[in-house]
This record gives sequence, structure tokens and C-alpha cells, in this order.
Amino acid sequence: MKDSLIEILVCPVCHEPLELKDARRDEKEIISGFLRCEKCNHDYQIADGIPNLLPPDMNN
Amino acid sequence: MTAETSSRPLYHIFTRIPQRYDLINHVITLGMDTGWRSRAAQACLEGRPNRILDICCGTGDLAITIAKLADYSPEITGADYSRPMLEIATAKAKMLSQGQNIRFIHADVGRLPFPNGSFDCIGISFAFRNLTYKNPETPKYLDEILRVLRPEGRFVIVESSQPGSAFIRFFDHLYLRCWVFPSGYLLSGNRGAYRYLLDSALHFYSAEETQKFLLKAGFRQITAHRFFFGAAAVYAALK
Repeated sequence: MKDSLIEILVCPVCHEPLELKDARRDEKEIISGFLRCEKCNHDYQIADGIPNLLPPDMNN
Repeated sequence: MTAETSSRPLYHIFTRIPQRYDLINHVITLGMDTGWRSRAAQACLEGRPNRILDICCGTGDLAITIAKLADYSPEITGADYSRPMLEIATAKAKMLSQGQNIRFIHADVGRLPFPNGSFDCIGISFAFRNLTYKNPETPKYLDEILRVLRPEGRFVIVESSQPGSAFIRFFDHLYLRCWVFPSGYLLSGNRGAYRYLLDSALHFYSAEETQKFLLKAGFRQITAHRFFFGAAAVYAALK
């Protein structure tokens, strides 16, 4: 995923902004890492460039 | 898997056979889905929106078609709850999007990860029926679509419909029973999913009923363009 995508993403549960953590990148994009919601205390995983922003109860 | 996802038979086809999903769609629609989707993409691009969201994007066909048809560089985002579909969408977009900016995210339409009013246009290709046919979550989905659409933003739907003429409807239902269901079942191996598709297509709204449904949900200035004697339609509605 591109960095610009983070600007339009929020937590799907509380709609607060997300903070990028532990990002690993190639030349163009973020390949893996986490998008952290401080309010919900939840990390949304980025894997193979695709961020998983399903609410936590849908990931179980 | 949650109760919501396990109760929807199409979830299995979305997660288990994505490699064949595009092929099955082309076969069961006799290749007509491509043209109908192009009409929806053109409707999405009316007014040259900057931010476009393709919900229930599956393997990304609507998002990629929008990217191909755009003569400018909109930000196109695809969202779907099936990770395998998104992996195919990402790979296809790299090959087919002609350098346009398409991003895919794993998300559910009922709880979208975007602020209010984020998008100028939202499109949905052959999945509106899944969100609204005998689905108890329908009000949540429509509220969420309206939430992330900006005021005056457009919602574009391409979906199967009911032909107005009883004579044409008879042959349309014959086609659904004798071609769509058996070919989908044989190619996918998933009887339940294509039984659901058959039942939902046989009983889904006509174009007039869909327009009334959208009006009741809070959309306005709703237009419908019918195809294949009314067996499919592209709708555009404003928030």
C-alpha cells in the first residue's frame, strides 16, 4: 500500500486516525507493518501490501 | 468466521475459488458483464470525481475498468472482505491499471475505515443484491455508504434486475435456471452459492423497485439505465 492511503484510513470501530508502526517497504510501497488505533488499543495488520481493516470481531 | 459471514453462502465462493471467479462471471453472463461494468465505470467517472471507492470490489474489475477509462488520475480504492479476492485484485491492477492509482483494502461495508464524506463517488458491481436481498444488515450497509459519501456524491450500482415484460421475464428466468445456476455450480463446485445466486436473482427487485428502495434509504435523483431487455441495470443516485 502507498503512504497516501494512510491519510484516508481511520479505525473502522471508533473512526479515530491510525498510526503506522513497524513498516517494511520496497521502492514504492509499504509491504508490511501495522496501523495502530490508540483509542481501541488495536493493531490492524498490513500484509503483502494489503491493510486488513476488518473490525477485530470479524477477524476472529 | 463470524455468524454474519458464515450465514452468507456466497462468502465461501468469495474465499475458496477466487481463481475461477472471473471466468465464472463471464460464462454465466455470456460475457455481457464486461460491457455492463464499463457502463457503470463511465457513470462513476461522470463529473470527474477525485476519490472513488469500489465496495465489494472482489477481484477489482470495476476499479480497474474505472482506471482504464479515466482520462485523468482519480484516487481509486477497492474494498472487500475476502482476502483471496483482494490478492487477485492487487495482481490484476498492477498489470491492467495503466499506471493509475488503485489501492485495495480488506474491509467490511458495514464498518468502513474511512472518515465521513471521504469519497466523491462509490460504485458497486454485481454485489448490491448480496447486501440487500433478504439481508438483515441492509440498513447498516446503506447507512455506512451514505456516511462515507460526500454531500452531492454519487452512488453507482450495476446489478441484475427483473425485466418489465412478463414474456421477457419468463425467458430471463429460464436463462437463470437453465444456464446461470448449472454452469456456475459446475464451474465452482459450490451448489449452495449458486442456488443462492439463482434464488436472489429470480426474486430481486425490478429497476423501479430498486429506485424506490434507494429513495427510501436516503438517496435522491436516482436514474436507471436498463440492459438486455431489463435483465440488468446501472443505477446512479446522489447523496
